[in-house]
Amino acid sequence: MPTGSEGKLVKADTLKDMYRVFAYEPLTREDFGYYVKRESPRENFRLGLLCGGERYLLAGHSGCGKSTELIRLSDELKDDFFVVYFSVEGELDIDDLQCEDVLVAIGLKIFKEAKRLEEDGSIEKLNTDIIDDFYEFLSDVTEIKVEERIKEKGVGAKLTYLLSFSGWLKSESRTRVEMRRKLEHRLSDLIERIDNLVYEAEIKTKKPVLVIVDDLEKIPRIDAAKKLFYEDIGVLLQIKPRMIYTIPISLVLDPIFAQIKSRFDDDQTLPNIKIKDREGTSLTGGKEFFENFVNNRIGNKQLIEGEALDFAIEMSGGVLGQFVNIIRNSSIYALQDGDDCIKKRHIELYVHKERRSFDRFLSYGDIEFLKVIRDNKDARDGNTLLMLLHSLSILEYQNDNNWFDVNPIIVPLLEK
Amino acid sequence: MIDANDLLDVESELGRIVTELEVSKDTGDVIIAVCDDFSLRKLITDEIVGRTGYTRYDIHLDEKNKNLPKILSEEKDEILDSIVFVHGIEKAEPEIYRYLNFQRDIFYKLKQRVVLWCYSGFVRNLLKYAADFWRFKGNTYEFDLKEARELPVVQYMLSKEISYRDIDELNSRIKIFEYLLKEVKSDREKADILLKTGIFYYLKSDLDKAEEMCRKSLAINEALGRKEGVASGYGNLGNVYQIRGDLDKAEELYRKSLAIEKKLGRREGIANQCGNLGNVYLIRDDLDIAEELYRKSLLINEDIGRKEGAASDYSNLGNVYRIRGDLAKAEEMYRKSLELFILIGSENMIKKLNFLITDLKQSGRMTTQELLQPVTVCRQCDPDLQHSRSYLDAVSAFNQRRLAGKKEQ
Repeated sequence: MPTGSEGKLVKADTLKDMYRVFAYEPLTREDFGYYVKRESPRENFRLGLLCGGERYLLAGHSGCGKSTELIRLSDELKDDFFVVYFSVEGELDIDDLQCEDVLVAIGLKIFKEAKRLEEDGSIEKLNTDIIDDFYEFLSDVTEIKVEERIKEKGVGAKLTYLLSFSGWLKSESRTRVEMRRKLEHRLSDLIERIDNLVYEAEIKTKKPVLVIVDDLEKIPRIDAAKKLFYEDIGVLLQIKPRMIYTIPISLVLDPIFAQIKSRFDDDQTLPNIKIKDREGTSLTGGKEFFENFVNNRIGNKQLIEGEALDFAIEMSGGVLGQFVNIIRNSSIYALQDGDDCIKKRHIELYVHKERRSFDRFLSYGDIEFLKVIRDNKDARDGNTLLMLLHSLSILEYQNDNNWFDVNPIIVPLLEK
Repeated sequence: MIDANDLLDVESELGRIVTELEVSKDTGDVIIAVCDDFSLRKLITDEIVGRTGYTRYDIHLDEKNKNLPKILSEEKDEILDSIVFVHGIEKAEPEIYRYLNFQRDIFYKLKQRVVLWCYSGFVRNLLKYAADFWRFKGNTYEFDLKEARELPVVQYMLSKEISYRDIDELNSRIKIFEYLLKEVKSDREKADILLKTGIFYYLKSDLDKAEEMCRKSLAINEALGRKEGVASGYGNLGNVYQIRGDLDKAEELYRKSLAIEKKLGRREGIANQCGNLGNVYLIRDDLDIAEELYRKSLLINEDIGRKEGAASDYSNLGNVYRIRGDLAKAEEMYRKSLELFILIGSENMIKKLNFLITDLKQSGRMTTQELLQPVTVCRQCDPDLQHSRSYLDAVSAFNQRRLAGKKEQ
C-alpha cells in the first residue's frame, strides 16, 4: 500500500493513483489511516487472549477483511504478547499445503522474529543450543546440508540457512515431499523444537507468544482444507503458543465443524458488510461503509461517479476484497477509454468479465442449486454448498440469523 | 533395528577386541569401546566374557564416583584376574577427562585390562581434553549401528514418538530442557518440561534421573490439579519401573494412569495404558490377559483412527500368538501390523516387522522367556546404562545375532 515519503497516507488524485491505492492486500500499521470501523470479532479475541484464552479460529469469506483485522489485532496486543503474524500464502505454497509445512513455517517465523529483535538489541542473545538444535533437526528431515546451499562458513551459515529455509519450503516441491515423509513419524520431535523456540522467545521477550496464521482459508482445494482442519487440527494445536488460525467459511458450515470448534476457546466469523437485508431492501449502513472506504482513499472525489460507486457497492455483495477488485480493475478500463473518472460502464465491463469466469466453472447442477439459494436465501449442509461458498459463488450474511445469497456478479447467469 | 551388515561389522570388531584382551593378559590395557546402543553394549560385554572365559568386574561411574583411576586403584585386589568393564562414563563428564589424563600412570601400575564403554561424542572429547591419555590407551573399537534410533513398537509412552540420532543428540536435548527449566517461571511449564526431561533420561537409560524428573513433574501437576499431566506422569513412571523389572509397581502406576484417563475420557491415553498393561502381563506370561488388554487398545486405536497405535497392537498380538504356538494367527497379526506401518510409511518399523515375519517362519514358536531373553539378562545387571531399549528391540538384536550365527555355521 503506497504511503508518502514521511509515512503520510497517500490519497488518490488520479486514476493511476487509484489503481495503486485500491490494492488487494491487507492494511499494515502504516496505512491504518485507510481503516473504516466495522463490525468485527477483534475485540472478542483481544479480551479472550488477555484473560488467558489460548486457541481461536477466525472464519470469513476470502477477501472479507480478515487479514486487516488480524494485523490490527497484532498491533493492539503488541505490548502484551510477542506476536508472530504470518500469511501462509506468503510463506508457503498454498496449492500444496500440509500440516507439516504449517508447523515448520511457524517455527521458522518465531525464530526470524525473535532473531530480528535480538539483532536490533531489543532482547538478549538467543540461546545458541536451541537454534543449533532447530537447525540440526531441519537439516536432518530435509537432508539439505548447510554447505550445499550456503556459501558462508561458521555460525553465520546456520543462521542464514534458517533464514533461507522458508524460501526453499515454498518453492521446492521435492524438499517439501522429503520433509513431510520424514516428519510423518517425527511430529512430536518437531513440536518439541517449536516449543523450545517459543519458550526461548518468551524468556527473552518476557511476553507470551501469540502466533497468528493467516490466509489458511485461501487454500484453493476444499479437500486439502478439510484434511488440514478436520484431520490434522489436533497436531496443529499441540504446539505451545497461543494461536489464531483463519479457516474457510465453507468449513464452518460443515456439520463436522462442531467437533473442531470444541477444541478452541472461541470461533468467530468476520461477516461480510450487509448492503441489503434478506428481503432485498438496501441498508444504509453498508452503503455508508463503502462510501467511507472510498473517501478514505481518494483525495479527488471526482475520480468515481456516484452511479458507478453505487453499482460497484451493489456488485461487491458486501465482500471487501471483491469491492476493491472492482474499483481497481475498473480504473484500468477508464484509463483505456481516456476518461478521467470511473463510470458505470467501466464497472460493468469488469463485472461482465468476472461473470464469464464464473460461467466457465459452474455446472448446470450448480446453477440450479444457486437458483434455490436466490429464491430461499437459505441452504443446508452438502458438498455443493461448501464448494460454492469456497468459490464465493454463494455469500453468507449475518443478521439475527445467518442467510445466504448468490454473489451478485453471478445472478444474471441464473436467467440464461 | 540391527541389520545384517551391521552385524558383520560387530562380529569383526568383537573378534579383535577378544584377541587384544587375551594378548594383554599380563601387561594390562585400556580399551575404548564405542557404542551408542545400550542393549548392544550388554550383548557384546556378555559375548566378550563368554569368549575369553575370564570373570568380569563392572564399575559404574556416576555423579558421586567420577574418578575412575582412583576407583580402580582402590579395588585392585578384587579385580586382579578380571576384565573390568566401565559403564556410565557419561555421568562422570567433564571431570573424567582430567582424571584420565593426569592419573593415567595408575593404569600402567595396575596392569589391568579395562574396557571403557562410551558413546561416540566421548571419543571426540577424549581427543580434545585428554590427549595424553588418548595416546596412552589401547585400541578403539566401534560398534556402530547406522540406523537412527526409533521408538520401540511395544512401549506405550510419549517417548515412542521420539526419534534421536545418538546419545549426543539426547544429551544436547536434555541440556536445552535443563536450561529451560531454570528460566521458565510458570509451574505448568515446569511440569511439562520436567516430564519431557524424564522421558529423555529414560531413553538414555538413566532410570534414577528419569524417575526423579517424572516424580517432580507429577508433584507439580498434582498440586495444580492438572489431571492430564498426572496421568502422563504415572504412565511414564510405570515405564521406568517396568524396565527395572518391578512389574507390580509398574502395573500399579499404569492402573492409576488408566483410571484418570478414563475419567477424562481421553481415549488415546486409555489405549496407551491398556497397551502398557498388556506388556506387563505378557512379561508375566499371562497371555490371556495380555491379549485382552492389547485388543482393548486396538479397538480404541482403530476407532479413533490412530494407525500407529493399532499397528503396535497387532504386532503385540502377534507376539502373544507366537508364544501360544498359533503361528498362522501370529503371522496374520504381524502382517496386519506391517500393512499399517507400510500405510504410515514407517521404514524402520517395516523392516522390523519384515524381520519378525521371516524369523517367525524360520524359528517358529518361542516361549515368553525366549522372546524376552535379552531383556531378562539385562535386568540381572546393574540398572545403569544397559536397559534403554524395549524387549522387542532386544529380541530383534538377539535373534539377528542368532540368525547371523546360523549363517556362519
